[in-house]
Amino acid sequence: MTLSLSFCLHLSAAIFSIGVYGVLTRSNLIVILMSLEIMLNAVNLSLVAFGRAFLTDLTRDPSGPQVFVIMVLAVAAAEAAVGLSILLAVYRKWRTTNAGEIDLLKG
Amino acid sequence: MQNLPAILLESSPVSLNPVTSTDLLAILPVLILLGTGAVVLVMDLFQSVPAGEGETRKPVLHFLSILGAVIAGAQICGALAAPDTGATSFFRDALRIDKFSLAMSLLIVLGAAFSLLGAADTLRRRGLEHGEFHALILFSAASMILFTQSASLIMAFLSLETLSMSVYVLTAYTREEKRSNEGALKYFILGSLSTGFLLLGLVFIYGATRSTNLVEIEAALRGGGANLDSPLLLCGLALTLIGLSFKIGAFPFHSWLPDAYEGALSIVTGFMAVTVKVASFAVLLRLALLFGSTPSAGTIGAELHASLTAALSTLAVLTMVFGNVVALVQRSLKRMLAYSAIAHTGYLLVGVITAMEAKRSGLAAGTGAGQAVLFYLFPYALMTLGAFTCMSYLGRGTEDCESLESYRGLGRQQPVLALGILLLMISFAGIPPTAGFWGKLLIFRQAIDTGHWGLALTGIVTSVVSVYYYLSVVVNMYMQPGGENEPLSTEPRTCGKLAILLTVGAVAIVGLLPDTFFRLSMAYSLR
Amino acid sequence: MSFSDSIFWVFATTAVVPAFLILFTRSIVRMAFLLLGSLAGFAGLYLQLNAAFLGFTQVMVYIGGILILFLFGVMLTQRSDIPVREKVGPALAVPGFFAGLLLMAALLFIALQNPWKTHPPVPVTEPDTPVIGIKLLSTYILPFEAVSILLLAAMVGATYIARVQAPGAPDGQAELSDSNAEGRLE
Repeated sequence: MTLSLSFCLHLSAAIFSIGVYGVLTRSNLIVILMSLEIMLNAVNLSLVAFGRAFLTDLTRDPSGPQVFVIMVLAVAAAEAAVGLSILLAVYRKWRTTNAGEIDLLKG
Repeated sequence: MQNLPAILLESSPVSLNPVTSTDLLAILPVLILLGTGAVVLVMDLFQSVPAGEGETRKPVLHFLSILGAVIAGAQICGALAAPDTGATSFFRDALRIDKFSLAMSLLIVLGAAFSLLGAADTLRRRGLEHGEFHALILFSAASMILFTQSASLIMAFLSLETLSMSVYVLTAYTREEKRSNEGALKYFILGSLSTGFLLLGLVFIYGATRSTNLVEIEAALRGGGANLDSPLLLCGLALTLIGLSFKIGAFPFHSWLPDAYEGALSIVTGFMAVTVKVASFAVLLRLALLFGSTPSAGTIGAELHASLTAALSTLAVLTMVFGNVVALVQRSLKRMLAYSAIAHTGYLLVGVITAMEAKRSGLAAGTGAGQAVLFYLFPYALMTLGAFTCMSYLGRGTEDCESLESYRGLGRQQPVLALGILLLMISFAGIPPTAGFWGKLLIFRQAIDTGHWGLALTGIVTSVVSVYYYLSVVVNMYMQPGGENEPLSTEPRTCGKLAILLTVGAVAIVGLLPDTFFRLSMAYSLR
Repeated sequence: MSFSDSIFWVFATTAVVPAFLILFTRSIVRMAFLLLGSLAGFAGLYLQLNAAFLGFTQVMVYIGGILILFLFGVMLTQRSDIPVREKVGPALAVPGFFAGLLLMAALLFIALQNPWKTHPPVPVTEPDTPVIGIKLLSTYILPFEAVSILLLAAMVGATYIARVQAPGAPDGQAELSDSNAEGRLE
């Protein structure tokens, strides 16, 4: 069955790793922000998959994971807003969005 | 509405008032902080700014926000003084308040109050008096309190994110400065990366235990039931640990910390060094005790304990060695203090490990686990706040004076400020009989008692190394002739003097009366 | 392969392939559109996984909100004299690749290890949106309220940082402090 929990976790793992790779290797700040959002999406997927797998477990609240996902969505939106505003502040002073060129602080 | 799922019918009185007055009373300090923040934001709109002047004057903002923090602190003190009734759950098990979380909340509010007190001069001097500063400090303090008290994974994640967002913005507060922007950017990217790891870890813990509630997770661990999936749980714990290690700045995950500390205003650095660390350690300690020390039916308990101890010990040793060695070669005082903050994270991690051992081997009646962490954090918070408040006066106009050489002759020029720095550095270095010494003594003593000789030895050797760099500040201030350049510094005004005096005085009192504070930390330790 | 299975495969491919392609694309605007495809794939997956409400929320919040924010970010920060392209930073490319690979291996291992790989699929039930609404206002009331603190703090902070300069400050002050900062650091 393709709809199994295991399959969703594989999918989520692959996408999460893509996101981590993007954050670590990309130099454009907007791409880094996108990769962060991809990571959060991958986590959401495994959360929804767990929620579905536990639907048969009547001792647990089945809507818990979905509420968790809604909270993560809000966090992702806040993160994008704060991230882009920091990006704008950086761009105003540095005139670049390339992470490799922003290197005053060292030591 | 007839074909609603069964779950609704079970909990049928979907109670019309989901929030009771006891719930609201329990989070009164949080509400006070949030309310004050909102009022300050609105008040800022009615403050007139004299155009074209470098200095601004908005005393109402400082007064109101400090007042709010003090009232919230008094409220928490009242709750701490009340007789101990054990841990109580509020908001349908979203929060769990006990003496330990109250003590940690008090430290956080203390950090916010002293930062606000010390910030008045800096903000005025640099023309940065905006309501946003006070509001964000108060909002993040409120969410840190919720973080230390949270009893569900959802609540912990949300409050951690709220405090992180506020602190990212505070790091970027001097938005016209390149260094501030860069520090905030690095902090934001690595912080959000760690959020991703932490969230995946929490989701795996949920997947393994089928619950987001810490009490239910503990029950699942105790039962050692068939539902528990140990590789998933271990992986979840590892990812959560990585996420929290970023926040406390443990060694391989520290790279944002020196840059963020250097880029931010000194006052903001003090605030985040203290409060983020206090809140994260409160939750780390709680999770470590939950997963590492809960007796379970099967082998999972022993397995978790062994892996957590190994992971935390490795982190602790690496962090202590790295922080102290790199601090030795720093030329800038702020960066040196940043690396020393990493080193102190290492000592605190040793405290977490010993707490796990103590809890696992069974607590004697009337004692709790984690009193070493509490006893260490209280003076550490005061020392850090005092040191960064002092640092905020070193510099003129918008310029900072940060290299160690630029402190030459400060002892003559600013005797009061220099004396404060002297006392704080001695206490940081852990020279007896200062507060820093007692904290380290207790942590290393407990490490030896629980058989962690290696950790204790590493800690003692690295603390001896740290004496060198702390004292080099003192040597530069008092024993080197001031060169042709007098050190740049500003005279503290009333608020700043008060902040420095109170922190230094409190550090001295803890150093002279360790017994009292040891008893207090014993009473407020985690049951 | 049943019909719902093939639909699931379609959505899974829609989610993974664009995300993967982002790693090989150089144009940032193209990346944003690939991200759109990936996010839409996720929404489809949620629909398949008995989470209809989340599927639609995903479309509204991510595609309707966050992606637009990113496009604004691209438009505000890309200068016309520099082509909208970027290179992989050489310093982190190799460790990044191995970190990603290691992480993926670890996560796949975990996913393979878990005992639900033969978990029976749950029959599709009715939408549970009312349940979520009621739970948000009862069991999860505090997280629900805490989200408002998060959004308020993020909004106050984001507007503060992104604002050009303090009201009342004379024009050109930003430029002045900019040159000061550079002079001091050199």
